[in-house]
Amino acid sequence: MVEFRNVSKVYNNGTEALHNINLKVDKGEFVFIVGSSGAGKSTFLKLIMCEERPNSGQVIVDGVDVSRIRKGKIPYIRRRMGIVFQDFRLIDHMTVYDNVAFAMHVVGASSKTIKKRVPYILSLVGLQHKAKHHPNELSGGERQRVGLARALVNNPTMIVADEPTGNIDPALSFEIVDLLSEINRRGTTVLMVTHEHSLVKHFHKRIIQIHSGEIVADTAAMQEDVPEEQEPAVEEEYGEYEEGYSEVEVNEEYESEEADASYEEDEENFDEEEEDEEGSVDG
Amino acid sequence: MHSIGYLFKEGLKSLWKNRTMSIASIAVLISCLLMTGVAGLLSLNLSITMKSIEDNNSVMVYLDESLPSLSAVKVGEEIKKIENIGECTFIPKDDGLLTMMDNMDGTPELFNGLLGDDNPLPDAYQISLSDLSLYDETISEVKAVEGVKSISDFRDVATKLSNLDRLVRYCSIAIVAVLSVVSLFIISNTVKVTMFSRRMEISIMKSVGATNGFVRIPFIVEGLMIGILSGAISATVLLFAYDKAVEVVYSIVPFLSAMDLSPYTLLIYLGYMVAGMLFGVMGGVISISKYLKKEGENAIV
Repeated sequence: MVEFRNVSKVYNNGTEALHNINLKVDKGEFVFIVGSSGAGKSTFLKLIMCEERPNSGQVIVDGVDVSRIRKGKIPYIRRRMGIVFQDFRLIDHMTVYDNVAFAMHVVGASSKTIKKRVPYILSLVGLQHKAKHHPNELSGGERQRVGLARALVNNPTMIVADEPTGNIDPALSFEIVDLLSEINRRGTTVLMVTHEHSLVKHFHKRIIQIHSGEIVADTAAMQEDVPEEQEPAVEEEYGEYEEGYSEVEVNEEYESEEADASYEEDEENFDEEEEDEEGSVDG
Repeated sequence: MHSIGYLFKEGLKSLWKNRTMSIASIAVLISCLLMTGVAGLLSLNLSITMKSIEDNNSVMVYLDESLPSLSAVKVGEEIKKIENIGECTFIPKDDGLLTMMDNMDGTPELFNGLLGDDNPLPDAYQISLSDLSLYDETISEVKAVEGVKSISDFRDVATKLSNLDRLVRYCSIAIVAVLSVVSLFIISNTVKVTMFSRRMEISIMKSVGATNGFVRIPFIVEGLMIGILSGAISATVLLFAYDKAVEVVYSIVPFLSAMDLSPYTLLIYLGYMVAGMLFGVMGGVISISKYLKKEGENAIV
């Protein structure tokens, strides 16, 4: 679905945002991307969204090498992904319904299709009863669900979420990630950048940690190294989660102020079910 | 395409939302179009007048006031003798005055008192030339005839008119050029303001995969509508004002032949609206292209 091959990105001002990144995310995976501010997470997403081009290496999205893609083709690549923003990016003067329909208008859908599809997607995120409300009448969690509905409405193969829970009450954050998990369960690949350790801890998904432009930890890679008997079941896992982390060679410098040690590439995070379901393979 | 109606609506909405700027651009575009129209009509009418004067091919030969009527007949015979003279009609001074009074609006009765001996006009002959290319030679021969006081030289008027025409043309080209730049600038600014207020929408559009062409359309519609509105208003104003102006000019200078615009009404509306549309679209395209180049790349995050 997404593959990075020796990708490096240096901005014009000399900042090296990413350094020789190699990564593969398969179709149907759910991946958390964590890392401190300025670690290169945004650049990572921008490369996937074709907003920036790498200086070297290849970025392959849904089978297309987007690092050399023609400008005119970029919109069509973007239609295959649904983007969820931290600040929701809803249009205030439009109703919830119109906000979602807007995304379909933009890609030239017929009004008949729109009329059918929008209510369905709104019911999927549990907002069918708020269709006529304006965004400012909704809670943060509800707004983000609208954002999610908008990202989903064009039936993307992949959801790219840039800190989707960053502006939401922690309690409601789980709701959003639950929704993303549900979407993922139906076959959509999900890439989610986040700062919230509790979420990462709670949802046992693949975690990629970026620090100073490099991938310092990728649980998919670790899973292969970890002997099965060492992996406890999820349910019992929550408690130990905080302390439990060992054996993995952790680069000390990526312990940033935000990076709580508890969620970092703990090989014990991964229960068997997770492994089976995702069938993660190291790229 | 399904979305044309939708995009059109969006363009109209933003036109209304930024109405101050929209009105400003419409006003400037109207003044630009009107200037062009006024200059064009002025120059058109001047050339028509010049042509009619030249085509008319009739020269008034005024006789000395002191000349007794018998000598006047003699003068006429002498003029007829000159080669290249086609017609030669005697116009007694009273007839001259009556013709003048006929052409006058208002109160020609005021001049009744001048009929008879107090008539200030001279007797005259109206002559026409068979060959216009020999104009200068023939006229000097006519002037040489004894008893001829002066000749109304329409050539002179024609030259003056053509100078005026040239002046009007140059001035209007300069003014129109300046105004076009100004109106382009204002329209593109109006569209830019819209674009700024819709940054969020543009970024969302781009994030869900709208092509640049699609993002452009509502802004182009906005420019288009500004143009069409300006064109229609200008055409209406121009046609109305022209009618009034022609009335006024006729009352002052009756011999001018003004052009009748009524057969061209539709054409003027069409031309103005097309010109306005071109300007509007150009203004819109200029600013949206700049915007998409500058910020479009990073419109998403």
